[in-house]
Amino acid sequence: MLEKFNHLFIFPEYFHGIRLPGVVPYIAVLGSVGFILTILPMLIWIERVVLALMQDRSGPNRVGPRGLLQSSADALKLFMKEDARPKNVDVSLYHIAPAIAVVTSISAAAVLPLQNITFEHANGVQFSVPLMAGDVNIGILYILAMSSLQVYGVVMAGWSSNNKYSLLGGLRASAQLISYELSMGLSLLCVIVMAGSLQLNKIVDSQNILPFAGAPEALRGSVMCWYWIRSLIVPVVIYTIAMIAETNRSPFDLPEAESELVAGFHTEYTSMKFAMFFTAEYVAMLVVSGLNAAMFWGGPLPPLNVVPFTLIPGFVWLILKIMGGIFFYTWLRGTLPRLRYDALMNLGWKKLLPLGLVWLFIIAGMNLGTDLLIHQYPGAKQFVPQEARFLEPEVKSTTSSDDFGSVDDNQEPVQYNTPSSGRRGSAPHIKGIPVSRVR
Amino acid sequence: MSGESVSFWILALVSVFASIMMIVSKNPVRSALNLVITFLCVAGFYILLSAQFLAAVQIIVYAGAIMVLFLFVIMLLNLGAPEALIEKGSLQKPVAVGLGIFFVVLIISSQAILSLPQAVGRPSVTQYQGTVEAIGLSLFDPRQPWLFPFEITSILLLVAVIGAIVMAKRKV
Amino acid sequence: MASSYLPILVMIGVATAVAVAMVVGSFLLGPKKPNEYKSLPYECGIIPVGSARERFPIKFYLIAMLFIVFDIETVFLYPWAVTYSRQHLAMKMFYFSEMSVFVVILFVGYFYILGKGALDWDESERTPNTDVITPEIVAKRPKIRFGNEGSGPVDLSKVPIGPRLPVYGASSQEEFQSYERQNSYVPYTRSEKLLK
Repeated sequence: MLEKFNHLFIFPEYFHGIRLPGVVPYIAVLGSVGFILTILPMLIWIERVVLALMQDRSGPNRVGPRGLLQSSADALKLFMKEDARPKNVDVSLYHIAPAIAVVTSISAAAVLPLQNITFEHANGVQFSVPLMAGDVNIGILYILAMSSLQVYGVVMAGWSSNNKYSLLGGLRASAQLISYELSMGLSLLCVIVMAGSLQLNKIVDSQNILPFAGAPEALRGSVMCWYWIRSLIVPVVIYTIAMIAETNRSPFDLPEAESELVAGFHTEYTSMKFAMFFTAEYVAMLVVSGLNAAMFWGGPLPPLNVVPFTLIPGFVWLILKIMGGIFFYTWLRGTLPRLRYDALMNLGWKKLLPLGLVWLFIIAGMNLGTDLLIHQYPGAKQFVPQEARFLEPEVKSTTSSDDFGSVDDNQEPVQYNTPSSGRRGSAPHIKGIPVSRVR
Repeated sequence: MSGESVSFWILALVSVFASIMMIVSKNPVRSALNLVITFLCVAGFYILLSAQFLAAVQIIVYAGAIMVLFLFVIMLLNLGAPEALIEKGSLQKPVAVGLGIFFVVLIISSQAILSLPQAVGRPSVTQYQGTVEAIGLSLFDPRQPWLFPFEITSILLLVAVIGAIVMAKRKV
Repeated sequence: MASSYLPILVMIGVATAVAVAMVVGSFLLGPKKPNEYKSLPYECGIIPVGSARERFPIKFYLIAMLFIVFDIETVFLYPWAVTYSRQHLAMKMFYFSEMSVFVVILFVGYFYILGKGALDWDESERTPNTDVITPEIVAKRPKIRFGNEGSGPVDLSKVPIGPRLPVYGASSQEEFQSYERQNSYVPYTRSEKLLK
């Protein structure tokens, strides 16, 4: 992945006694939270400008050039507004609900793979470490768990507000969230079957392959190797519908249908608490678009493995793909009318759920059929994509050095068996896959 | 004190506090939310025991699905008015306190009488253990004994579906 | 292992800090001028009647129950999907067939739900299409009764119409007056003249 860029910037493993690969996750934490918080006003601006262009009107144009600072001014205004709390609310739940919404949506971004960073050990071996906060075995399940916890922010806001609109909006939102979680999981499973891992960086790596043996190197990890086409388009359609429904956006914005429910579950919230629900919604949009990009659209991979594209770092490609998702959201909002609630439930339960389940078995059957074909005719191997497989379980016992305290310090200098042996002869406790030596 | 034991003690304190609050709280919605906190702490324990998949499933199934159902039931029955639920003059409280003390004594005395073996060091855990791959390889392997229980689970889920419909749907 | 979850914990901590900063910031910066009318629940200008924590349809409950069943099913699918593609041919066929058995049994349940109409959010969907009104459909329709059948034409001049209360939402005069007693401020002062 990103050969050119990664060969331009190679970092030493130890810098003034600090083991840099151990610091990488914390850089990712700061970077992603900082990016999310700075991009938020920009997102709202993008949405307003795109909507205005679609509806042939001016849009924001007073504060800053082309209204660019309008959202920041709005945020400042919301900070200065009175926090009016209606009587008879359940006070603690009323205050906690927006915080839950914000925390779950921001922390779901922890497992998105931004790009790989190449490090060089003292003896010349290079290895790459994914720039992500949580390089954990359950990557996708973590995002799904966080998005299932988002129900609580909505339900608690709706129930504690002591308002009929809020309660109805909260109920609708929670039923909608749990219904579309199923289809979302099934569409992701179609990719997991092919990639054989739940770790998003490994799923991205498994898209970095040649489309068929003997293909030119420019096609390695290109558009036609990404899972949107390799899973035959249906899962990406299911996922995209489900992700819009999960984030309660138009045309699935039933929970906050302003023509019938005022503002849904956040009717009674004012000032910054209202803005926190807004923040949570936009951050959730960023995260599900990021998951979409990583699962189906190659994540940080450039669309073609040729020079001008590969010079751009991976996280820029990821951000571009996420922004494409945001534009798609806005496009749908400007185009489609809102669904009726029964149509929403029918779509989720009667169409997407069985379709996703059947498609999972179509994908698994295709995988099995390919193996059968190769078993029958070994010559067919060169026509199927060279799948990156993570077959061999890396069984190795760890000593008690696996505590929290020993991430960076107290590490013995790495002992390599054979420095030039590439993938196999790597140090066992280095996260990431060692890449070949410098040429 | 290693980072692991620090996080264990924090999680333990939070989970015990949340479960006590779940019992003591008079508002059923708050009880349910305290139970959610307890579930999240249990997920944390699973991660400390390097059972990562179980931790994720704990959150997805228990906190994300079952507790949502609990909240729906509480709201459906409209138990929001806590005054109606307070029972006066029942034996519940003294009996509960007595049983609790008995249970604590039981645990301590069993530890003392049976002299259970103390854990020595850390059990050898491979990096591969507890991951999704390990569970998949053992759960679906015909050489392992877990295949039959897995298939029976589908029957169990089928029964659950039918039971849900029979109970909740008026016109069957 | 457990140590690789530490950055995630830090991320959750940072997110919590952001949320707390938002709440505290608006608490410190915003003015605090509460009054009686600001603290009423918002119901589009109508004074709210009854409790907001109403009971709600059982359909939501049914959806939550069905969700649990299918959620557990997908939880079983994750370890299967991760290990499926790395099997050798014979074992892969076995994996495929065992998961097929599992899912087919669950599909039986799914079609049972469909047949019982538990997933029909709108019950009227199961009645025949009434977009085209035929004489048969008109004959089948229940007669709508208004309560004044057989009483002849109504003489509007004799119908007693009391004074209309200007405060919308108050269902009786007693309620309106009690509302007036509670609050020194009356939304419509013209109402007093009308009542006298």
